Amino acid sequence: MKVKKRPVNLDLTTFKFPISSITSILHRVSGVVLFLAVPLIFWALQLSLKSGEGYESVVECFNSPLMKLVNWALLSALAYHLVAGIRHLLMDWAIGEELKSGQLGSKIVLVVSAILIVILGVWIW
Amino acid sequence: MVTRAISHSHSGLKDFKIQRFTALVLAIFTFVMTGFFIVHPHPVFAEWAEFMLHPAMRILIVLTAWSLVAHAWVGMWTIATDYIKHYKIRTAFLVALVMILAVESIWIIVILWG
Repeated sequence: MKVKKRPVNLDLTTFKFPISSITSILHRVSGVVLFLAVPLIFWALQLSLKSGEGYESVVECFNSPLMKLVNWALLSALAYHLVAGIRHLLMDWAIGEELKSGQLGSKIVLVVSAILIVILGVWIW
Repeated sequence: MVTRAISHSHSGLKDFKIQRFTALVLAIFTFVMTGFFIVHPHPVFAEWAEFMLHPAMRILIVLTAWSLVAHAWVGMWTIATDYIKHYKIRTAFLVALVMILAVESIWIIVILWG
């Protein structure tokens, strides 16, 4: 049997990543980050609703330099995931599905989420 | 009828619908919380507890948490089937995922009514 010689290219540094593939993988990465953050958020919610002291300790915890960074990262993931998700819903309505409009949609997602992430950073610090 | 070749009882169309519906619930909750933090940038405990424990908010929070669980299931299932090629490892991952999501869907009830 003749073995087919098929092209193999697994060198990621030589791959081309069109903008739509970048927005797609970021949607996945941000989704996984948010899933992993659920226990932290539930813990904070539980403690914050338990008592005044519990609430103060959560506020204090989230005011530490490290937790501000974590909080910003998580809210950034949420902002990105939401914006990219809204684009998905629009694409369900056949908006922004073509090559050109798809690339434009990807750019809009990146710009809008970047603006939101900056605003979130200003709010946190 | 399309033959289901991917897994035992998995419907892609059902997943598609779940993902869209839960996304709407999650978006609504996100907008509500954004509104709260715009009105109260630095809430005190009384404001926070009064808002979050309002009967309407409790219902929204539970619906959001359960939507999150379903949304995470579809999303993480998709990622697992894309990247984890080994059948046993993938099954173990999905079993662990189900257990985590089950705990979270009960945990939110304990938080609000415990």
